[in-house]
Amino acid sequence: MNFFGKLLSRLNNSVTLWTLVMLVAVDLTVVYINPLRYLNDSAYIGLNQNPVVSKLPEFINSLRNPDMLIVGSSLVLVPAVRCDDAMNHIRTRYDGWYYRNRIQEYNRSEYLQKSLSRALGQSVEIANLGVVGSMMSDHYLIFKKAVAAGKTPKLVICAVAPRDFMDNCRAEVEQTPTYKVLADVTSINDILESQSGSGNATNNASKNLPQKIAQKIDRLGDFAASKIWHYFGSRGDYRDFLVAMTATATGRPMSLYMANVMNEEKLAGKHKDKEETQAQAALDPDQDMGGVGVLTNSKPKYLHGPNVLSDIPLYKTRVYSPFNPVLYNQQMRYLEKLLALAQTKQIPLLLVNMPITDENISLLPKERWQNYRKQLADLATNYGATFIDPKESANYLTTDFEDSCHMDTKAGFKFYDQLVRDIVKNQALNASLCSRGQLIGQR
Amino acid sequence: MLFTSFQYLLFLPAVVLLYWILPVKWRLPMLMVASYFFYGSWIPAFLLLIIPMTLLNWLWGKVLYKSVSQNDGHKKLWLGLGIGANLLCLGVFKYSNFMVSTVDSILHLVTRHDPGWAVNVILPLGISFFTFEFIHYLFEIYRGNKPIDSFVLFALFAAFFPTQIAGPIKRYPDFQAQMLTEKKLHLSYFDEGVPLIIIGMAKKLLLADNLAVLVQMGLSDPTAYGAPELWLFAYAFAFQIYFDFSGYTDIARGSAMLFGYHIPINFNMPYIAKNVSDFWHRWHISLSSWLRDYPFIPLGGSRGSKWMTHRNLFLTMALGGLWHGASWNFVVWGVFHGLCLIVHREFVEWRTQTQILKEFFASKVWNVLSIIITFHAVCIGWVFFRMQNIGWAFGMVKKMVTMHPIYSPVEAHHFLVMKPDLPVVVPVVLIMVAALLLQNFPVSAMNENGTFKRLAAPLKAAFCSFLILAMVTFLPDSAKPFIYFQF
Repeated sequence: MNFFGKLLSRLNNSVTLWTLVMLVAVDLTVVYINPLRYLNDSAYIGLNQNPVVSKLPEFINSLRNPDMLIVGSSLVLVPAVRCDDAMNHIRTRYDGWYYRNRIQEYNRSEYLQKSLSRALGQSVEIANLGVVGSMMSDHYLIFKKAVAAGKTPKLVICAVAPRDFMDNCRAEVEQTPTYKVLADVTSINDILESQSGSGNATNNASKNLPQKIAQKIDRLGDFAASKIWHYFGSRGDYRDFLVAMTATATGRPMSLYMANVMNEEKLAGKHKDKEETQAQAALDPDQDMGGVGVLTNSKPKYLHGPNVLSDIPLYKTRVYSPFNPVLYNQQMRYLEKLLALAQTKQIPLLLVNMPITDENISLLPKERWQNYRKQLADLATNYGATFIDPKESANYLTTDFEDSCHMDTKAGFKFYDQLVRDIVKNQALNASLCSRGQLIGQR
Repeated sequence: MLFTSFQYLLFLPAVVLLYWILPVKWRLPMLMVASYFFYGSWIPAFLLLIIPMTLLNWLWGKVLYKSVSQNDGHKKLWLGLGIGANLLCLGVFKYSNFMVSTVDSILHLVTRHDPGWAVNVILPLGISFFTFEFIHYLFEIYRGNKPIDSFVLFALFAAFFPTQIAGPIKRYPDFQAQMLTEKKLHLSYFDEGVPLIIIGMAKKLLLADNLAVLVQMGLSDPTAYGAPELWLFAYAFAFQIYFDFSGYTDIARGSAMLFGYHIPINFNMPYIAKNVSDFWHRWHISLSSWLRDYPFIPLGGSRGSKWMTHRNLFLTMALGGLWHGASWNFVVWGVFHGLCLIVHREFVEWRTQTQILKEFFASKVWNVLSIIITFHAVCIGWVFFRMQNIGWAFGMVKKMVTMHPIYSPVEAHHFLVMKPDLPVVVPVVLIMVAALLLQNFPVSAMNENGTFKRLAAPLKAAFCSFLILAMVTFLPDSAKPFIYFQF
């Protein structure tokens, strides 16, 4: 046997080499076949993973260059879907399947687009980049990546609510689905500049310099590993798939968070009075909430019962409480960064404080709510943006919402009409949208 | 730098690469420097402890050897002083907090006045392990073995980074021989070492860390659970500590193998032991053999009367318990095992003398039964090991032994662990652990008797790839330190 024959034989008997070969084979499968792609319509994709944010890389990598970008959370997505469904005579639904397969992936705002085009006398294209559960840092990242990808919107609407700045249920800035899905366009600088662990005040305070350095090394390691090894980068999707499959098989919630949500819902259910329950039952034949967190393809639910504010306990005990000033200030800084970026790029920005119910607002101490609104207004002024608070000029009742913060169809129409009026009335915004062929930077 | 951290995954290949590309004469000094770097990465100041202790023991070994070879009549004195100095160091760093708080508690009990005495000495990592290696070194020189001439070799023996923090406790004649052998790069080192590292990491990350969730849930408030649930938690901890420590040992052995070093095994399927004595031949083998060779045999071993043997067993195990940690629960754990060993000796003697049920005791049924009894006795011991509050530990053991109450006192006629609103992690952990436990036993068996080595390379690689993918998929956000690091 010649030298190469001997070498091949030796390598053939090597566990180390075989392991490497197998891992490379798995990686090639992940990259070129992508098995999860075939599960897109199944019930096994985690709520917080790609379906929620898959529209982002799709939009950023596309040739689309809309006139207007909307960034925000589900607060701008839900009414957009409800209004567009009503306008297009689509029977809207209120079940988990619809939420997952239509609302989360929705990237348009046709009613607003049509109303605005009519009011301005010219066609306006809108991209709705609202992401369910996203925070202010996510809004900034989406806008930053869109601009970096060469998008030149004539107007950006940044729709915010207090949750975007203080949600304790959300992960750290670098761990959100938005961040993860846009990670392939993240640079090492982003990691070095990031404030590790700043989402958690206690943790951050207790971390000394070596720990912070070790954390940075770990993050850089994760970054490098996901660049070299694709499976490493998409392991979260596979984990969610396995967890969701197990959760479905065992009928259990997928995580402690979802277990808490279930408990809160049960708690809320217990406090409902009998009449309300009966009314709900009459309107809502699909009452089985046992599947929260387990993505079952339940029966379509075409009617929404009276608003029982079922998410209020969650907001009260987890989202707003305990108040985390480090997180709040950090998220405010991201708003400031977003405003500064828009100013630098000379893109007009409309900052909208989204309408939410009085019950939701009352969960915040009065002073904090006022301070929040003042900060929004002040920051907008400082960076030459326009700030509006629709709730100040129109009456939004609790019955206008699906829960404590998501507007229903009727309120959606009211909100978009008001938005159109505000844009048309504002000379700068109006002029920007009506300008044709003008390059960014010339305005 | 944890074995399961990203830093270690950078550090190890870098040192391995450097080791094999350097000229032979630079390899050991480089390995010594890398070992000190590894140690300093925890708390750099502790280098000021390990380096002087190493130097002192190296010099002491030379003095002792001179005394032994000249037979000048002072060898016992030199040995005593050397061991005393090592134990003093261990005592100051490991036991001063414990001793001061115990004296404080006694004074409080007697005088009804709290003196408020407390000290806060930080325990240097691995001190229990390298101190025992130093004591072993001095003992062996006292028994006539030659000391290590080169300081670099001696320092590397004490600081060798794969075994530095939690053993296995090495024996210097064996390790010295390996250091002095000139090694050539062989792919077989990697083929043996890499699977061991992967299996060790899987034991730690997939099994031990997931079991920890269940253990933490149950043992943080044992009063809330019924007896069957407490047994479940005790089983969970038994396997958590086994997978944690044996996982660490596998990574240590695998890492050492990448440099061509063979480190002795530390575990040999301990939970199939047929009695407590057998258990100690299978559990933490390097420690139990150290305890046998140094405190037990010098105390008289089993050469004296029955009661002297019992006394020696009892003292050795109590010391072994105290070695695990400066806390009364570890002493109770050691004493419990000492008593179990004594009871077992008495039982064997009674059985041999009376010849009662001779056929039954020779049957397979008794074999299985003895494994079950031993495992449950060990689990009771683990309760004392895990729970620092001795009152709670005794309360838990009482509930477990009497099997009362069956259900949780909080929620009658229900097992709390089966509550439908618990996160899915509990059933997942149970299912996964059961599945992986089942396959871990054959793997351990194959690993020890060589069957695993004889498997075709692609099969072994498929197993390793599966473990790597499983680990990467379920990688926790933050790595938990190994349990034995605290000792």
